[in-house]
This record gives sequence, C-alpha cells and structure tokens, in this order.
Amino acid sequence: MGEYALEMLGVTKTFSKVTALDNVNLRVKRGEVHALIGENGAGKSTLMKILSGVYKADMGEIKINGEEAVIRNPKDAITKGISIIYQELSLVPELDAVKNVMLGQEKQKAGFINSKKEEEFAEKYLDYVSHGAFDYKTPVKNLSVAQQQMIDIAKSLSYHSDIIVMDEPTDSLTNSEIEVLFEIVRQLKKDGITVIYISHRLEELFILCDRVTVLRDGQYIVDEDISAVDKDWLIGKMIGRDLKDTFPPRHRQERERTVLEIEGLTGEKFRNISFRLKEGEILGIGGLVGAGRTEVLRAIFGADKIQSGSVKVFDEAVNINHPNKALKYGFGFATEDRKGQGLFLNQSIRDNIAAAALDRVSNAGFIDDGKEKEMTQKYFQDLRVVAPDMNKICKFLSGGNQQKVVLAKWLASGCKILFLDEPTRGIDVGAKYEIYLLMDKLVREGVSIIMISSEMPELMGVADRILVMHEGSLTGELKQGDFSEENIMKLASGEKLA
Amino acid sequence: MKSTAVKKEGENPGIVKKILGNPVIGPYMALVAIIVISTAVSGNFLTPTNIANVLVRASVVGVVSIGMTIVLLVGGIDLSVSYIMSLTACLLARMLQAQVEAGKTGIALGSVLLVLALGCFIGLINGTIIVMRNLEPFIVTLGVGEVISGITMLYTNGAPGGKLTKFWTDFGKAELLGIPSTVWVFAVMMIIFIVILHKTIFGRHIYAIGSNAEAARLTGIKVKINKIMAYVLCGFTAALAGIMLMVRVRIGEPKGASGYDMDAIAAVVIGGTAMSGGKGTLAGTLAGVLIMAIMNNILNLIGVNANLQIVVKGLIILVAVLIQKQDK
Repeated sequence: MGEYALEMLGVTKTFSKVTALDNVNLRVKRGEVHALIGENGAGKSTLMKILSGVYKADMGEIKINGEEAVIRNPKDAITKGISIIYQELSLVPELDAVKNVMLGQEKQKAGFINSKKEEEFAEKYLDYVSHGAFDYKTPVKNLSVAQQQMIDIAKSLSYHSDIIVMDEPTDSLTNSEIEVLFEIVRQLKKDGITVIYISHRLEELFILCDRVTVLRDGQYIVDEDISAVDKDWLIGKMIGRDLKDTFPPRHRQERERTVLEIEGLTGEKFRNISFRLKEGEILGIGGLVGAGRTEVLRAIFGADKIQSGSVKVFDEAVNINHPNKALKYGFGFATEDRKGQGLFLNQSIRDNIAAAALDRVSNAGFIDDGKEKEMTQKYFQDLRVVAPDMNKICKFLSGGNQQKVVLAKWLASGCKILFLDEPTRGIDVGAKYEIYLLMDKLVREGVSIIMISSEMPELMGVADRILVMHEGSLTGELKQGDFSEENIMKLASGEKLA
Repeated sequence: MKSTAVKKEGENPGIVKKILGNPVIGPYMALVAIIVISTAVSGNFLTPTNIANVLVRASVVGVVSIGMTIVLLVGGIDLSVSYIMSLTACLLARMLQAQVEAGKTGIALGSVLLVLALGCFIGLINGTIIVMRNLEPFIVTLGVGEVISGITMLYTNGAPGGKLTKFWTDFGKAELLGIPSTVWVFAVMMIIFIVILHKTIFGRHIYAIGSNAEAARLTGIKVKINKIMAYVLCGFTAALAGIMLMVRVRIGEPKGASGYDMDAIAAVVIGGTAMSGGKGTLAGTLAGVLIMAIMNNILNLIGVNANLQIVVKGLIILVAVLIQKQDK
C-alpha cells in the first residue's frame, strides 16, 4: 500500500457545455484530515459527487489505497469505504437515531426487524460520536442540527467507511457545537480514518487539518501542508489575485432620504427589528444561517405574516400582505434559493426576465410582443447573460447566469428597493465581480439595496453599513470604520462589542 | 474576463432544426403517422364523410381538453368535467323542452348562458376548495364530480330526457364551408384560448405558476386567484362541451359523457403537456385530440373487437407518453 488512501487524478467533468472540472487532482494521505477549499463554484461539490458515485467523470481515474477503483453509483462508494456527509443531512426526519442509522442495512429475519439487534449495533456507533449526549429514540426532526450531524457521522461509520467527506459541516453550528465536532474529527483521525474536510471558514483549517487542496474555477491549483501556509496565501490561491481586487470601488452619493423604515417588526422567527434604509445605499445584513435574516426580508416583502410592527415606504405607512403589493410599492426580492424560489427553470430567459414587468409591456392584459422583446433584450444585454439567445431555457444556465436572469427580472420591474439574499452564492468569481459592479451601478442610480450575506468579506467589501442578527434579534449595527470579521462574528454569536 | 464556459451556438439554426426543436413536433409526427397508416389500412378512412365524422367526435373532447390543458398547466387536474358535461346536457335539454312545449323555436340564450355559468360556478367551487385548503386537485375534483353526478341522477331519475328547439336541431345539422357547426365551435374556442394562453398576462401567469408556484408568488403573481381561474375556465369548457354533446345526440343523457374526462386527459398528455405543470401548448393538445379521435375511428372502420379497442387505446396512450422527450 502506498501512502495515499485516495487519489483522484485528471478528473474532468462537463455539464451540457459547461466545464465544471478540468483535469483536477486530489491526493489524500491515509489517516490525515485533508482540507478541500475553493470559492463557490470552484468544483468541490462536483468532485465529491464524482467520488460518491452521484456523477460519472468524463475523464480521469480514482485510486483507493493505490488500486484503481470504479465507482458507478452511491452504493459502490459505500462498499469501497467512502461516505459523504452533506450539508443537507440525509436523515429521515420522522425516524429516530437508531432507525436512521439502520436504514438500508436493517437487521432482519424473514423480513421482520430485530429491534434489539438493531439497537445494539447502532448504539455502538452513536455512542462513539455522541457519548450518549441525546436520546436515540427521539425523532431526529426534534434534534438540533449538530445532533443530526452526529447521527449522520455514526451512520457513515457503521458502513465501515475509511474515508469520510464532510461538506461544510460547521456552516449551521454554534461555536460550542463546532468544538464538539472538532473533537469527533480528531477522534476519527486517531482511529485511522481519513477525513476530507470542505469548509469556507479558513480559520478552522489551521486548527483541524493536516494538508489542503485548493480548487479554482474547476481547476486544481495546489496542494500543500497546512503548516507551511497562512490565510492570505490560501485566499490568494482561491481567488487567484489579491483580496482588494475582489470588490469594485464604491461610488456613492450622499443622500439622506429614508426610503424604508422598519419599526419593532416581529414575526415567527424574529422579534422587535427596527432599522432604516437610505436612498442609494447598500445595507448589509450579517449573521449565522438561521438567525432570521431571510425571514425579516420575506415578512417586509409580504411573503410571510407579520405579527406586529410597522413598515414605512417613502414615509407612507404600508400594510403589505402579498408580494403583489410589495411590487406595487417598488420592492424586488432576489431570493437565496434561486432554483426553488427565483426562477422558472423550464422557461426561457425571456419569459423569466419579463415575469415581473408584464404590466409595462401590455395593453388591457394583452402582451405587446415587440415591446416585450425590446425590454427583455435590453436587460439581457445590459447584464451580459451568457447564452446563445433569450430563448435558452434557464435550467441549462450556470449559477452566475441564472442569478443575472433573476436580477434582470427585478431591474425590468423597475424596483426602487431591492432585497438580495446571498446574491453570489454558488457563483464563480468572475460573475461575482460583475454582480458587485451592477449593485454599485444600481445604487448610483438611486436604487436602495439590502443584502444578506454569510460571507463576511462580501459584507465588508460591498455594504455601506452592516446590521447583524443573532437568533431572531438585531444585535448591532456596524459603520464602515468598524468593519471587521471579528466584530461581525461577535455580534453574530450574540456577544456585545467592547 | 475569464473565458465563458457556455459556447456560442450557431446564431441562426436552420429551419429544419427549428422545426425539430419545437416541442409539439412529437405529437404532430405521431398524428401524420397515424393518418398515413389509417389511409393505408382502410379505403373508407380518407373520405369526406368519415373525416367530418372524426372531426365532429374530436370537437367535443377537444373543447373539454382546452380547459383540461389549462388546469394541467397550473399543475392541477379536473376529474369532474364529464359530470359537468352530463349535468349541463340534461339541464339544458329539459329547459329547451319547456321552450318547445311553449311553442318556441329559438336559441334560448338565457338558458344557454345559465348552464355555461353553472359550469363556471362548479369550476369556481373546485378551484376555491383546492386553493384555499391547499388540497389535492385529484381528490377534490373527484368528490365534487361525484356530488354533481348524484345530483344529475336525482334530477333525471337516470333517464335520458328533454327536447331541442328547432334552432338547436338545425344547428346540429348546419355546415359552413362544408364543415359541421360543432367543428367550428371547437375551432373558434381553440383560437380564443390560444390567444389567451400565449398573448395575455393571464396566460403567462398560468405558465409561471405551473413552472414554480413559489417563485411566481415572490414575483408578485396572484397565484391563488389565477389557479381558481384555471378551474373556472375548465368548468366553462366542460359545460360548453356538454351543450355540444346534447346537440349531437339531441337529448340530455345523464350518463352520456362518461369517459370524456379520461379521453381529455389522455389527449392533453399525448399532446405534450406535463402533468407536473408549466409545460405544454394548446397546439399540442389539438394533435392529441385528433390522434385519439382517429384511433377510435380507424379501429371501428377495420372492425376491431370493441373490447380489444380499449386495450389498443390504452397501449397507444402508454406508447405516446413513453416516447415523449424526457427532460433531464
């Protein structure tokens, strides 16, 4: 046996003309914790989906313990000792921990389940990761994300996996939960299990990992011992240039007019939120996933119910109970979940761009074809959507181009207050820059933007002010002079600033 | 800027490619094939009388299929249409009989509008229950359909009845440019609804809702009202088809419309409309309707056993759906 537990060599994968991976290498030594990093869209997920048999590579080979391996489907991967813990955990919410671990490997006799044997078997692995920290008989939907994650890890171990991939495991965990997870990872390492650790939180890598592989735009950039590098070096490799060039310069005009005033807004997942949005500014909202940021914007937009509080638009008190009304007051909302909530995936670019602006190109309910085409063509070109023509169906576009279509839709609607929820998630670096430029152009034209982002550099690089939320409350506001990752993180975890 | 990943395709794809790329090409190719085969196996198929016969049959199912297409486009289904047809036919035939007995011969516009409004109203009930309680259209329309069916039977005692005024018996026999009147009704409805679906904001919203209801809502589209409207239109076309059926058989037949629901759904799906919503065209539905009508006709012409005909019809539906382009 060589020193590598896993080698993926020369892996190439294209999706309908889009190259997701181009000749990528990943070499992981046995028993190490190996970080796999890269910006969104760099190809980490695609590479891992090839490893787990979800996708088939166009070219390239996979070696496990030095021997060539063919992984045709997810089951193949499991039998070869590879399991992946996805961000969206793969548990059945209604079943308890034991039943989830046993799913697909039930202990049975003539079709009848032997519960006692199952419990014995599953508890062995559950105890290993959780040390009995929660009840194995509770339906997992009632457990915390961290506890569910433990069950997923136990499930992987029960398959006798030698290689465990963790995809952004700390994304939705609290600080103390992250500590527990790290302990589990160290324990796995001690017991000779190889861990591939995907994360965008670079600080974690220095605490936890031995080596790191960097991908950028679907290409293999470098692998290196983590002790030999520092954070700036990693960022440089990830984005391929200096950090300060990631964001375009701001062009702002001093405007004092308040366009949106929120007072004491309370809903199911947030309470007593108050803030003002000025004309032509970008207001950032930071915080952890699940802090209630999206819910606040949805409530203002009329997509969810408001329990109490008031909303004023251009000094007029309004009661927005349906997005239709929000549009009339000049709101636009590019949601985080583009595919699920933003796009009509099986419709053309043209139909998508026109969807919120049909009133502008029609007479008495009848659409004027020529006017519609002219309008959509304008935004199609302005936003430089990369596609052969506007009749292309949206599901065949890349994430960046899909986001441009969503933005084009809202620009076409002529909105004055634009909500952007994680506007650059899953978008490659080049397209990100274009979206930042567009935001800058919009605010110069007097549009006001609220941007939710989980990426702190993005908040600091783009926003004029940052509000931070923690568990449904606003914990603070940062002005440009006070911008720092430390300050945002402190507020996001509910601490006070000194 | 980094090189873009999407390669440019030829700016002007050839006309052939354009035709082959059109989503309704499949159903129309099948339609042509079926016409060619039918002409080959039976000398009686391509005669003016027979073609007129096929078209008349197709027209009634066709009108139901228009409404069904809209409902399928919003991701729903309507199983109450054949019951609406029966109720409409029985009710109108009896109202016309009263007119006949009063010595009148005219169109009886009031009664006609009344039953059309009734169809819309039943659609309104369907849509409102489905949308307001967020229930499965399948079971709601099935339930509403059963209720209507029962009411029709109570009202008629299960017996055919009624009588048409002279206007309507004449209308049934009337032709314009050699084409029967019911076919004209179908053609006009088709044109009106193609305009509604493809040229109006309402039509665009129907597609948007079927494609992604949540995205539609967040784009400011009033999803609930538009969905209810889809069922109202389906109720309307079902009622109109009921009138057409009544004109054809010249009586109100309480069980006369059975099977029209399934025929309409089959025709719509054969025409390329997705049962999941958001995808499909009325042009495709037209092809589906004609395919179904020709199938029925040719099997009769060559004297296939009636029970075997049902088997063949079922297989045709399965094959049509199986060969449809799969989306990845």
